[in-house]
Amino acid sequence: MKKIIFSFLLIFLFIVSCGQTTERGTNINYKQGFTDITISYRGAAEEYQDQQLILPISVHNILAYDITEVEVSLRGFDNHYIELYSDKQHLNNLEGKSIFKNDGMQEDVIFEGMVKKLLPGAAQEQENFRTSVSYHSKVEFSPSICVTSQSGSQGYVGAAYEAYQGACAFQKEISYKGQGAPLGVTNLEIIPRQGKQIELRMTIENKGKGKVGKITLATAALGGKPLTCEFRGNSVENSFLFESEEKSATLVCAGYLGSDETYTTPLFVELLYDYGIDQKEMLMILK
Amino acid sequence: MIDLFRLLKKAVIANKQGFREFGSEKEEKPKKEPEIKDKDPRVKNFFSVQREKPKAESRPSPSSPSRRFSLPSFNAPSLPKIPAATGVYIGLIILSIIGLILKTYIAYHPGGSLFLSIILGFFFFIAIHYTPEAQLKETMVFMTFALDTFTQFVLGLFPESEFKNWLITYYVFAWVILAVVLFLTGVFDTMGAGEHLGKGGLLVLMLIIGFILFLLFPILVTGPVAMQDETHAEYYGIAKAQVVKIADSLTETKNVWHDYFTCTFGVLGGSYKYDGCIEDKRITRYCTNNVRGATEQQACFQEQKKIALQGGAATVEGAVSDAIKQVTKVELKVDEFFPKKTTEPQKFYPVSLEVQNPRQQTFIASISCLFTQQKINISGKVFVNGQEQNQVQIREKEQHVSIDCQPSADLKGKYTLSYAATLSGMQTFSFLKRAFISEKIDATLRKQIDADNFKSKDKISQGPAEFALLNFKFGTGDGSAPLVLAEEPVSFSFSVANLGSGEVLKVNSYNFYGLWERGFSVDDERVGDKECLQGGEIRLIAAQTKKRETSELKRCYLTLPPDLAQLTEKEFKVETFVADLNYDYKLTKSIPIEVTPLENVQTPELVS
Repeated sequence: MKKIIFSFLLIFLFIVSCGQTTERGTNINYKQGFTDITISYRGAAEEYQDQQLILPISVHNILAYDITEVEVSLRGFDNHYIELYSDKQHLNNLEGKSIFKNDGMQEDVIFEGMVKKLLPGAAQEQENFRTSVSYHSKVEFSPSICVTSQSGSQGYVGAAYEAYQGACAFQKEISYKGQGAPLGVTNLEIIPRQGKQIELRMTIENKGKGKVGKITLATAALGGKPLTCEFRGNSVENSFLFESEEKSATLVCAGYLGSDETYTTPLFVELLYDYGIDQKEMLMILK
Repeated sequence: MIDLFRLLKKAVIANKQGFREFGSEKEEKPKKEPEIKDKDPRVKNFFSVQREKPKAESRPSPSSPSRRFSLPSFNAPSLPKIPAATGVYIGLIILSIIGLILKTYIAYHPGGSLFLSIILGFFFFIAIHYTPEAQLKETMVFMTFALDTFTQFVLGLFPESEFKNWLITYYVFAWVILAVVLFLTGVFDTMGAGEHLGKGGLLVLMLIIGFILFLLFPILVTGPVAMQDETHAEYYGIAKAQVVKIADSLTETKNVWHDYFTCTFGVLGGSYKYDGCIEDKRITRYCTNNVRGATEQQACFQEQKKIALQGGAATVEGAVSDAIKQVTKVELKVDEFFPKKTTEPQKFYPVSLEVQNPRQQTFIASISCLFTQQKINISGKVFVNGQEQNQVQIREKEQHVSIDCQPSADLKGKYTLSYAATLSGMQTFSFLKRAFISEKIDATLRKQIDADNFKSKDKISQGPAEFALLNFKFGTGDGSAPLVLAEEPVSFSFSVANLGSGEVLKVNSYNFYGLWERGFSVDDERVGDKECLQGGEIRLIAAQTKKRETSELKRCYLTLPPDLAQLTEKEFKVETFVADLNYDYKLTKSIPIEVTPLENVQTPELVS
């Protein structure tokens, strides 16, 4: 009997030890995927007329980057029923996820105001409002890419192809699934040019639920050498302004390669952006 | 109708005596037939379709006094049963229906419509020219043609009203109505001549009678008697309101004959839009009458034109709010013990005023009663809660007021007892939600504001389900759109709708305090009523408070408060505005009663 129990325990231990361990510390790459900050309304769903109003809002940064200039606002309240003493509040910088802060940083703000009187004879009134958060942040795009100055690829437009030459497999077009922010590079096209030159076309997309305002290119380097870049379309110098319905932008960079060979080299692009996101909430005012 | 009665009368007389005469004529004057044929072959052509004329048959002499009336007698016993004229009338009905369809097809274009009317008139005229009582019928055709032509050109001049709707109805169905009337006269002719209607004639007659019954059926089923006490006393009020409404229409119309002629000329050529022309004339007249100074008049013209383009003098919509649960209700109630039949000549007739006043308003109810018997009116003494007085103050949440009415003189016979309760100082309110934005606002945000705040009824003003509903609107354009652009002029207007069965007598005061307290003010630089946001008495007629087509009582432009006028493209504000209305309302209740004084009652003992 003891042998049987021991055998079971041994098997159990074996199974447990084979399970997936939680990723921790340096093994986790937070800068992947698309994600948004989370906003939570922590106040009551119902409030009574002629009462003080307290509306606590929690903002949780689960991006892979810090967010700065965070402004939390409440919009859409009907002034006849709700009077807010202030409809905007500013937060300190909220750190994003990192090896030192696995869950990112969360902070609460409290809005205060007054619930006014309902209309004569009315029993209740439903108020729809929105909690909006706007911030400034960045996103980094830092893949290692296989580059070549071979002009044999000239004129080839369309699907990716592989020409194994030397150390790495050259891919003309590569897709990416985000860099841990709502905004990220989703596509990279590598176009070799004459005389060891190379052109990189990056598609930057907003996959979050909010809206991107202005994107500014902070850094762009290939193998440590700076690239010359510009946004296509609605751009001013190093910046691109997203129109209301716009969801993507194209950044075109050009640079020189250090060698005629095909080789792998790091690409680093850092983009700064303004972002705004809101969430619909509901508050019932009772008599 | 006169024509019908005359024909019927004549037909009856003819039925009694005429046939012998026809018969005798037949025997006496067969030889004159060729002469008639030569003289008037059209007669034969018209009626030959409906009859197989035996060779032996003759026609009366043209000189004979009975010639016209003898036409149906061509259908002698041996002939087909449909008399000639009846067949023609059926043809006219069909022709008028074809005309109606064709007019619908050409969308009542004035030129085309006139052309069709001329053709119809021609056929009608020719067809009835050889029928009995032709002169009268010709007059009817001529009048129909004249009125049809006249109506189609003056319709555009009439303001929207019940009278105009009647005119349109007449204009559309004029020829069909005439054809049906002519057919019925033909039926009387035929029957008066003692002849049978053929299958076709009977079918059409049954269709017409069936149609009339179809129209009357709902009234017959609901029973006019059952509705008597509710409606009878209101007839005068309705008629008065209708007359006032028509008078208003005519006042509006009286100055526009010049417009009519000048605009008609353009329309006939097809190069000028008639409605636009008339609208321009109307606006010019309005601005000339209401604004002084050439520059101001020009500005007035431009603004009125803009308003007209944005929907014109549309009515102000409003709705009953489901959110307002506390509603004031007042009702004159008659209980089952009310003495509808009595022997007492000066009996007390009790009713009650049931009041639900959850918002605890204070108002006065003035009661009166009247006994009417045809043209005799006998006033009644009113007792409120047992005291001889005719007023009571209402202030409780629920109040039951006993009312007794005693005739001031002895009654005898059948009367209509009419109670009237005038409620003075009734108060109601309404509210309207608006969002203020900049015209530069982001399109997505604009959609979001609209979706979050304005679902169907939220776009229009709402108030409690009480006797009067204060409707108001304001905003960009005509004020109907819920999103108000900070950079555009803001128009404002209001009206009062009658939701009850009584009458809104007058507005005592109106106060759009939600607007002026918030910093809105009347824009003096634009055309409009200066007392738009706050004012006193406005006398009303029933037509102005008609539930679905209320008339605007005041209209003006507003200036926005600074914080709303200077919104940036990322800002918006949502606000609800409340307004108060104080008004007088008249409730009426009519009850049929019968008084048989004891001396008139014959008891069995007395008889024996």
